[in-house]
Amino acid sequence: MQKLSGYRQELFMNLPSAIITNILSRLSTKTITQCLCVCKTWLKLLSSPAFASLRSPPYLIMHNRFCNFNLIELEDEPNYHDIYYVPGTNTEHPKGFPERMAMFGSINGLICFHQVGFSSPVVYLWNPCMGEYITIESPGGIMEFPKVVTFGVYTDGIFLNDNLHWLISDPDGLELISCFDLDKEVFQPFPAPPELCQYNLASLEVYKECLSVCDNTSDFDFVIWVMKDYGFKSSWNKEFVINKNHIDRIGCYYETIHIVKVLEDGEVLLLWDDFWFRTCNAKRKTLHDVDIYKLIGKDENSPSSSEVMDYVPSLFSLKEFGLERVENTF
Amino acid sequence: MASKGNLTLKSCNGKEFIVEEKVAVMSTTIKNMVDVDDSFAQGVIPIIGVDGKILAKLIEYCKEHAEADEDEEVKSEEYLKKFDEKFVDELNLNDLYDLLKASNYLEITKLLNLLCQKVASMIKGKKPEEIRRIFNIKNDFTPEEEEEINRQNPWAF
Repeated sequence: MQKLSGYRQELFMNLPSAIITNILSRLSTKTITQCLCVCKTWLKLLSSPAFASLRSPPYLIMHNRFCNFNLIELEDEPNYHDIYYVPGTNTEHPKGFPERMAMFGSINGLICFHQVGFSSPVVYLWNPCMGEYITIESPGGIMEFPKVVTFGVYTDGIFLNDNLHWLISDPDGLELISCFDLDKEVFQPFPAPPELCQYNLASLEVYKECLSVCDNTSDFDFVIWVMKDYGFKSSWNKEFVINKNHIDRIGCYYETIHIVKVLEDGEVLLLWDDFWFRTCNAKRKTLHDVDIYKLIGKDENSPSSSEVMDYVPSLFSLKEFGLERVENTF
Repeated sequence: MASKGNLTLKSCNGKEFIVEEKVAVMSTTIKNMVDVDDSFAQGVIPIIGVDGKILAKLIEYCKEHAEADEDEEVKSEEYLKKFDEKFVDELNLNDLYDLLKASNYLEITKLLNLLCQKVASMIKGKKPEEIRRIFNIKNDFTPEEEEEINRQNPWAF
């Protein structure tokens, strides 16, 4: 590399700025932090709002029961992935929030919460980047959540193809998945994977825009079922069958598993028992621990029940809703 | 004079290349020229600011990709991936810069993205001083300024 650098003076800086921007926008936050002090031109470019708007690296936001929030960045490439905590993003519960909140969705940089254990009709909308939140009260005290796919302790319905889906338990043992047609507002029967039985450690998930079931009931394997053609029973397919033998962490054997993200390299990031992060590789039939807690490196972030969901930071201000009380959390 | 279905491209240092039209129109700039003015399709298309060596590289890339677009069986995705990897790995830094500028000007988006990704991978995980050394960039910060940037964390909520 050094041999190549001597040729012409400052050639890189002579490239059209559109090309430099194209190159730098491909970098992860980790590398960009290093790039800030390369030279003044880069600092100016990298700090501009226009540059920020070009980038949308895949982030996850993690919320644990100690009320901490952390941003997790994914480097997600066709032949490579890396998962790490973005330094400086550890933040506590916003001032003014009640204790014990649960996330149930995120859109446009806003995170939606409700209070755990209370039938409070209040929904909290928070933009951590802007340090703003508002509260929205449902009319008549009826809690009506806009349903979104969530990962964690709360088993909200899975929204796919304009329908909501739940794993259910049917006394006759016939029906295992319930489907609610939001358009017609009716429940309808829905085919479940062929080998799925009642009272198992299964959860309903989304895998690459297909309905999926993570089943950890067996003593030997854990299975990810994927319904390739929506609504067709025959299209249920065992996408992943992974042997559990070498899992040594106690308490992770018979637990529910959730899909957090299907990565570009084909591996799947999973959340086990709302505690442990693992990636699973279908080709090699292996599981790999992802120690997100260690990456965060703080005592209070030792493994604890966590919720994780996709997150795209934005500078959207809640003041644009025109509500009177936008609280500041900084 | 190129025969039917072929185009003649001329580099800035006068080198002429006869290429199939499907190869040449991988460049949106050339495609627009040919679409708008039929005389380009008959005569010689001057490629301003691109020398023969770089133009040959561009054609090599476009040829592989145009053929792959036409027949996936002969040139599979796997084959193209390997070709792309080898293509960028063999470039020295000067050629990389020249190809970046040429593919930007000629609007060969696929190649531009491939090259940008290559440069990005050279930056990835490096410390500022390593980045400056590789790309011959002058550090115009005072030590105090550098410290100040390190102190601030742009990603803090």
